[in-house]
Amino acid sequence: MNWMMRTGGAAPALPTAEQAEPALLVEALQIGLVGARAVTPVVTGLDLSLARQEVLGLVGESGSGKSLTSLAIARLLDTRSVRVLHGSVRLFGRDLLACSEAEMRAVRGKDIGMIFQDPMTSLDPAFTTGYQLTSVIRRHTAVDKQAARRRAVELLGLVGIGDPRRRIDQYPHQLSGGMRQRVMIAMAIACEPRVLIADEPTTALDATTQAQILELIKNLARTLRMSTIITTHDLGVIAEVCDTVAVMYAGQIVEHATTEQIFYHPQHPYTERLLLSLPRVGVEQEMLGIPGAPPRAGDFPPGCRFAPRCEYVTKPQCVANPVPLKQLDAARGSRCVRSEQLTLQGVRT
Amino acid sequence: MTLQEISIAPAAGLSEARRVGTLHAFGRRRLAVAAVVVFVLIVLAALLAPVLGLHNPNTQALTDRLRGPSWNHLLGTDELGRDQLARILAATKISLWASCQATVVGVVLGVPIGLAMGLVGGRADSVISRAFDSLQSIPPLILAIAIVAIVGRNLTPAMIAIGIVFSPTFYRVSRAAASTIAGETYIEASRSMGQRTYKIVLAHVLGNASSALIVQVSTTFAFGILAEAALSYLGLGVQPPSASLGSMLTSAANLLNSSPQLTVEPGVVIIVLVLCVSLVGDALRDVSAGELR
Repeated sequence: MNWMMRTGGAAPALPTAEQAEPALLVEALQIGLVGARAVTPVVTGLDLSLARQEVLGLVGESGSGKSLTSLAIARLLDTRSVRVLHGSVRLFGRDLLACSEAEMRAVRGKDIGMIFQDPMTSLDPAFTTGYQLTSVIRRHTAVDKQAARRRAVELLGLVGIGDPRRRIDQYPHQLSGGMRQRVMIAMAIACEPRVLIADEPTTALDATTQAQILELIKNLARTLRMSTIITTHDLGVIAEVCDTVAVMYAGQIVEHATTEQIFYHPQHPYTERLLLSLPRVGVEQEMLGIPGAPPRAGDFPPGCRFAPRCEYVTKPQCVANPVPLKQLDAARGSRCVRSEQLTLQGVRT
Repeated sequence: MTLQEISIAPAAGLSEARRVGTLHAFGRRRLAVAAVVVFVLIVLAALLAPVLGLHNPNTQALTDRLRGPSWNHLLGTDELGRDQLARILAATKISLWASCQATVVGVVLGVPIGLAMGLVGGRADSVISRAFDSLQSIPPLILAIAIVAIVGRNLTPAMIAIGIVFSPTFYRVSRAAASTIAGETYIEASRSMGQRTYKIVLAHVLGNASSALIVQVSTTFAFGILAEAALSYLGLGVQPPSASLGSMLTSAANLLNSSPQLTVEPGVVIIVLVLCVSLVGDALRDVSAGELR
């Protein structure tokens, strides 16, 4: 804790001009699956802006491209099968897509911390938590073994692992799922990254652990002043920790807004349906799914990609041409041609 | 104290917990432990032979030919009056050394390329893999004999040839391990922390593949001993007057009727060495298999 406060607190106040620049700016990102013959775009024209110290939720169904997007930001896509076709990713103004692989290795773990979905497989079973944690610390900071170990113990304490002095010498199989995820978080924040990307950090955990892990991520993001992206398919996670939300559908962002706006005044029919599908406590009702299935990559409809499943669809305006993301006000945008005509329902209280 | 603490917290030495667990599992196999002890004794005896006050293995004493065991010559003497025990120990040392050469060549050639190809995949992988496959189709002893025919009667090139023929097994084991491990989330996780590729390969990939490789090493080592004996038996390995388990068998074979002990003694040493190494390898395989979750 001491060490965190020392270095974390020492960051100078940034000038306002620089403060306006977002921590992470993704523009026109296009990601494609590389097949034997053709390249199939799976994420198209994705724009994303992560303000400093903002917690952004990237929400969408499986296959909507949210994980690919978060991997693409850290340039972790397996380029044999998935490639960024074009676009730019700027981390505090620095174009990551133009960086060499060696430069990227210096960025990963140092400037961008990542947390993955499955803590059971994200730690190497053959090494102690301490070894894995200290190797990250020593990779990015010039400290000797003892100092790295002290920091590792501190970090384990910081992420809420009891008795870190003992845990540090244990192997992953001796830790519970929740503890392993805490170790992963400790590794991700070990070098105090300015941007934290959590890819479905709670999906593999049980409900009580989920809440604790979310609370932890939220607190760490605040105390370490990290800008954070959390991808999830769980709207509960969004409500819990996020300041702003971007809703993804079929490789596009269909709506982005503050969390409150998304939940109470959605501006895209897909968001509305997502909210409607939430089960409500104390209300006896059938689960409301969204009829149909999302389009497969490479088979996206020419117009609005949600049109085939949308109850408000009007032809031809919805299906004729691709729908641009319309900026409604400073914080929000919607990819629905009818967003101004429709009055959509948020969560009911 | 919670249940969890009780189950996993012996008072001290937690960092050694896993290694101790492996040793423990190994220790429970009495046969394997016995094999280790015997092997270590043989190795020590072979290495320490010069300082044990034995006879010189190459000193002939034609007046003392073909003597049976006595206090002066514990295992008797051979047809040129040389001390059989000293010769067996000298021969064992050569045998172990030769087998080491073959094993090291196999490891050095197979493991790095295997790891690299397992990680890289793609076309390079299939080309190199086919090359190693075809290498494996060459019978090791025949290649060794061919090499000896080219470079002359010398053990080292022959053992290197055997090592080369054995490299495909190391290649396959490490390639398979690397390609499995490359897909593990923890590799992606360590990439996401900016870990350097060579470090990932050395620590995570090799670390996780090591148990399979250790087993392979023991198998190859056992074969190396046999191969050396076979080559020397054919007169293609160690040249006289140096002793080799194989060449001792050749010369003793002519005296099988009059002095059978001369054949039996090196034969027993070969059997015991190979048996020990194989038993250790088997036990290691069982232990490391039990370690998998």
